[in-house]
Amino acid sequence: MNWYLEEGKDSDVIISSRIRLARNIKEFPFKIKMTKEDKTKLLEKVKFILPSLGYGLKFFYLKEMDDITKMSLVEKHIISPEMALEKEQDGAIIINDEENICIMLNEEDHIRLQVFTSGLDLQNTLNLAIELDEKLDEALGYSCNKEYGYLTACPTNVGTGLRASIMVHLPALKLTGNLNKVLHIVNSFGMTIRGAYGEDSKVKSDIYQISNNQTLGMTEQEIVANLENITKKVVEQERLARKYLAKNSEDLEDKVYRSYGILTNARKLTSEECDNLLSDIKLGTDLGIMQELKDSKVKELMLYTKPANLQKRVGKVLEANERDKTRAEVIKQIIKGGK
Amino acid sequence: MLCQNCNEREANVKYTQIVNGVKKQMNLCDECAQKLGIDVTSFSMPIDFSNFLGGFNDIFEDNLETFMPTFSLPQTLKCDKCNMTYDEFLQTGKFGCDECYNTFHTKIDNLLKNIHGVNRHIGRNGRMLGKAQETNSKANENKQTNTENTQSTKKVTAKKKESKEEKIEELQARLKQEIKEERYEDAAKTRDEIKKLENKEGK
Repeated sequence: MNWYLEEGKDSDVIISSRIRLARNIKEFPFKIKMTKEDKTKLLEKVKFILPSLGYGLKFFYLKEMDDITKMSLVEKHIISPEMALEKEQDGAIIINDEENICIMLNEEDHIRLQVFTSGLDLQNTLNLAIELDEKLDEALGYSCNKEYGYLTACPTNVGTGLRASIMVHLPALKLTGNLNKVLHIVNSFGMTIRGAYGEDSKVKSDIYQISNNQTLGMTEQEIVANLENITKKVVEQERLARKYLAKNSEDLEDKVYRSYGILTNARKLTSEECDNLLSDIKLGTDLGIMQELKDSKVKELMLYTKPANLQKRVGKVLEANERDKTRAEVIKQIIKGGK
Repeated sequence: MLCQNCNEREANVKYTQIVNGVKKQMNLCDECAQKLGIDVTSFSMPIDFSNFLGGFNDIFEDNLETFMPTFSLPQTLKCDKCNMTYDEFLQTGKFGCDECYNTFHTKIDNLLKNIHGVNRHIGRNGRMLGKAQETNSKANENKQTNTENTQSTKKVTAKKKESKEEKIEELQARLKQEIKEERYEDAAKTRDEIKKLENKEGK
């Protein structure tokens, strides 16, 4: 099973954990000074050493992938929107069947190594990333120096090149009006908290991404430990807010079941409306207010109602209006599909 | 009031622009406002990281100019390997190659401090470090570097030096912690220990 459909630690609040390492190969200039030939050469070089990495990793040229597949990966947070939408499309991705490892090539840096897991588990995720990282370094030779560590195209990533991030679902903090306080505190600890789809993204379905800012002057272990620590505090607050909501469970139950009613009976659903309904339903399911759906079903619904993954599932390219109708059908299918 | 642009429709966007203290005001209708690129509802500015880059070194540079003009750096630093100039970096916010970090060293040291709060890396580092430079890496954390270095005698001396440096680093971290916790007596002891180690190294 793919990691994003699995259940992990603290999965009532935490959706997933991710480690990303930014690396450059010594032999090549950084992205903005690379020629087309450089980029092609880099891809071939990495493709050549790929078998030595193991983990069933496969190589895909970006320009050979269709838009829906690319966008479906963006929706799973496996590749960056920048990479999927870039004009030249001269990058590539390396990914395994489980999709818990994804290496982006020719993104902002030559190599963006990412490892994902469901729920809260940065430590093991980091360990796997380091293992792959050392193999890549051995085979390719990274740009680095003593003072600044791993050298990256943008000075905001230099040092460890490590960005750790955790995706959290915070509907109760929002409903009780305490979200802003939490966001503020998290920011003051040198972490960034923002909408789930990265830079500039609007907040959808109460899902937020918490990540470290500082990449220099801290060890990887420190960064990960700090982020985990702060996230646990956020989880605590969210659970407190949920407890409070559960006390007035009549209102909450009403809200959750209204959303369930719309979700299961609507004939047309936009992506945005669906996201919001599912956020309520996830909260209701996590709190045990409603038993109609298992956690795994909710996860499936959250994934396959997103525009690109919806089209991937039905195997057809659909216009927005058709999508809304198909979305309503797919929801019924998933719910009916046995427990 | 009619729109000052088309003189046809009712104006409902009041657009004020102040350039160098001169105030200009226009009354426009929705349509003209949009045509002129004044979006009423949303205003997306092309802001990114590079817009915030300049200026961190200005004070330092001014001093350099006034106190020791002969030593002042050439106005535009340029990386020999990739031909990127510092101005280009300020515009794009991205470096052109790994050598840029050396070329712009004096400038980015300050910049990195502003971004990260510190400007030196600690922890795991790349394998190429041992090869490209004689300076030591944190070899104990990077097994590969060790196995690569076959010259055993060199390794031993390097390692000795390294462990001392590491010890100092460790002590300095402890010192910081002790000051933070206001354990000044312990801090004084730690400080003396560091001094002792550093003196030994000097000899």
